[in-house]
Amino acid sequence: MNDIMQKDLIEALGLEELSREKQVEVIEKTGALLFKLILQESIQRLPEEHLDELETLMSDPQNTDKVYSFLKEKIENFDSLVEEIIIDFKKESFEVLDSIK
Amino acid sequence: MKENMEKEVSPIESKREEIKRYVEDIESSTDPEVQEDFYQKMKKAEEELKVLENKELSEKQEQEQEQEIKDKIWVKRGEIKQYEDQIREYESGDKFKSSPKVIDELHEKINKAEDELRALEKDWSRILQKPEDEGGDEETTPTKPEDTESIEKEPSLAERIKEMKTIEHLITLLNSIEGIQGEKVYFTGEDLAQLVQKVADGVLHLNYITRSEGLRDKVKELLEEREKPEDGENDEEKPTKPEDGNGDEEKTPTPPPLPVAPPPLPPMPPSPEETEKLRENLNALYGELEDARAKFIREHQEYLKNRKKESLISRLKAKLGMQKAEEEEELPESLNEARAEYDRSKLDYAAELAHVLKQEGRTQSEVNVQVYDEVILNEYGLRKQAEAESWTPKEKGALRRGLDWYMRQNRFTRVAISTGLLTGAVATTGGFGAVAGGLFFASNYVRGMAAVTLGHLSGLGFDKVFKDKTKEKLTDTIQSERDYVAGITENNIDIRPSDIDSLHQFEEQLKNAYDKAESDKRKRLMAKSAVMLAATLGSSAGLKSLEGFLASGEIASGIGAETPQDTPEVSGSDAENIDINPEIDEALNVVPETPETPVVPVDQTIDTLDESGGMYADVPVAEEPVAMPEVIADPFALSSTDVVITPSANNLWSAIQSKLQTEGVLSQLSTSGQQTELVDNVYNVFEKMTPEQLKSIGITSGDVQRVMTGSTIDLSEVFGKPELLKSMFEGSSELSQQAITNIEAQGKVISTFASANPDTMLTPDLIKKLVTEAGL
Repeated sequence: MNDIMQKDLIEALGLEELSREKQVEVIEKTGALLFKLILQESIQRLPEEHLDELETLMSDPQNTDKVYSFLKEKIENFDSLVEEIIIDFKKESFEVLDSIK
Repeated sequence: MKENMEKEVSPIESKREEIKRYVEDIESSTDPEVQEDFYQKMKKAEEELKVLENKELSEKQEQEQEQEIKDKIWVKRGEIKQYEDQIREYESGDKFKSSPKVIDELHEKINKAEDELRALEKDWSRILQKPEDEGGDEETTPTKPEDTESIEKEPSLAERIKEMKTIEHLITLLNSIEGIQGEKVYFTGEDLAQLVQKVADGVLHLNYITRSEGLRDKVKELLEEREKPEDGENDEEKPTKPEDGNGDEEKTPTPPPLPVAPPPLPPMPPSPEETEKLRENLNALYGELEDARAKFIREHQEYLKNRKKESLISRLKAKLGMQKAEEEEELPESLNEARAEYDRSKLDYAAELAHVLKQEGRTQSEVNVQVYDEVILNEYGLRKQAEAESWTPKEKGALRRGLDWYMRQNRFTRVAISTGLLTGAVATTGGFGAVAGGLFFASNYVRGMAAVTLGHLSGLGFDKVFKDKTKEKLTDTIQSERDYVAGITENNIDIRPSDIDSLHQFEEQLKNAYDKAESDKRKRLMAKSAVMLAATLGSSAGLKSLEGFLASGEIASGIGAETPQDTPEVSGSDAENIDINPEIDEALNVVPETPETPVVPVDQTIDTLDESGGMYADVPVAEEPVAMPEVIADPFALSSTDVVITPSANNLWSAIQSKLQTEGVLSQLSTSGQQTELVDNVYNVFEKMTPEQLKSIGITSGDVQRVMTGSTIDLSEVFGKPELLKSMFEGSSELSQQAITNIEAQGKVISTFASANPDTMLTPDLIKKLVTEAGL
């Protein structure tokens, strides 16, 4: 699993051959999607009574450490869950890119 | 007789001889009855002669017609080749100055010539289909039952294709058939003939040809044959002429061969018709993908409903192989099948999309990125969106809030972390901590990521700042850092994963040197350099550790704070004896210029250091706080100003909506009415453009309602103007409740109609009609 994490998707995409604007666009979109995937998974695992607290924490963009600590505390093996999601994403991405070489 | 036996006599000659004999017999006979008999026979022979002569004439005419068609085919192909050569010459600029207008005209001529060629080849195939008549005498045509049977038992299309000896034969055959059903698409005979011709001319790739009926293999075989040296006995390829007298022997007349094959042409862009066909195929595959996705989502949601709530650990264990993968065994077969079908559809669509894009001349990187965008990012997004649709309002609210929180993080940091995830630089353990920390911007992670993103800093060590004692070298170093960071703007980030410890090392060295420095002045200077570098690097979040040690109690409490434990030695320099050159001192006093960036409010910068204590007291700082890029990104300064028309957002309005959604702008509006209003406002700008203006931004049809899937549209007229977008946003958010209600009601009417009439284009007139009829 670790191998997939360490594989370079930017290189596989050939992103460095494109304009910087395009690079940023793709990277930003990917980051936003990954965040959304993880956030959705997290919300589904959180008991409803904790959702209010999460929303409160996330009302302030500065609360970065607090949000992370909160999720780590409330969701079992949160770090592993996140890694799993990213690995699945990268795996699927590499499969598709390999198929169109 | 001998002479007759030696010389082959045609049926007509033979009949004439017969008539001549009857005449001689009549003249030589004296018996009237015998004469009458011969006369009747002569009459009959004359009629038969007439039939034969007519037949010969008609055959001659047919042959002439065949020859004429052959010649015309020959000429037409030559004409097309000529145009193609001219296009090459214009494009290369070798002989003539490159002229797009002339090239377009030549393309049109080629299209016209190809149409004419197709018509000729059709005529030719009609000729080929006529029943063979060896002797011109119908009475000699075999009609025995077994022969009839053999005549009626036509070879299959695959067999006929297999028998073709040349590309030209094959094309002629294809023009004569109705069509062939490919794996997914039905091809008419004409289309196939065109495709084969294009492949033979090197314009299209062999993969364009369907495998059905062995067609692709045959084309491949014939192309390989053609490349072999010509065989002198290969008479089939030579044009036949009537004077050769081989008309009777020729069973399958051949079209005239092409001139000697020119060197392979560079691939030409497909004609508009071909592009449209390609896109049609692509859209068909996308339709299949949509169906497969919908089916998978249904099955998955059903499964999720029925699944027992297992702990995360047991699921993870199963996936890690630490226990039997009960999870997998429990997956219903229908879900597995739906998933497999969905995966297959995605790969099929990806392959076809890649192919189409390559035909359109895109580079491999461009192809990769577009496929990645449509097949990975888009599909993931759609699946997750479908899942969230069944959530409670509370859950949806939490999701919206969370996404908003993410978009409000420092953009530089967001990109830095995403880069690290994509490249895998963050996968090393002991680097920053868990990846999850990064995605939620935990400070230790972000600090490390700043090091990765600013990787070129690996060359910049503590020593360089202090050991280079000339002002020029120091200022050069600092200037190069500033230039680099100046390049890290909203739209211009140089992203290179590199030594992840570089910044840590620098920080440690600086910190150690500071701690070990004896004089206040030195500490001050180091602090200044740290501040300056932090400002220059432009990322307060990314350098929290610098902020940390500068603001930490042990230092902030004053000069002479105790040296922290376990600090590594400063490598390569003697921190105790740093000799600060006065020129360097002067250089360090220079406040970095960041005129473009707005000044950030104090409480959001590292100016919290001001609160930490006296170390800044003696530091001559500029009156204004050090200008730094905003911590919170301007939500109206979008990452790019283009939109791409995709099958899922296949009109400009949807593409604008999708763009604003991705950029997080729409989520700032709380109601769908407001969101619709914003998209409308943006769309209206382009709706008012003239056809020429629309063409200049990428809408080649000149009609805002007709955009081609796969095309890129430049919307900088709005998306390149953050202030304008902001004013539109504010206008939308200030909508009265009544206006919001109206817009939402209108949206419902339109979406109901669109669902019921998926093939009807929603024009402004139609929308107006629907809304009026609904009384809105």
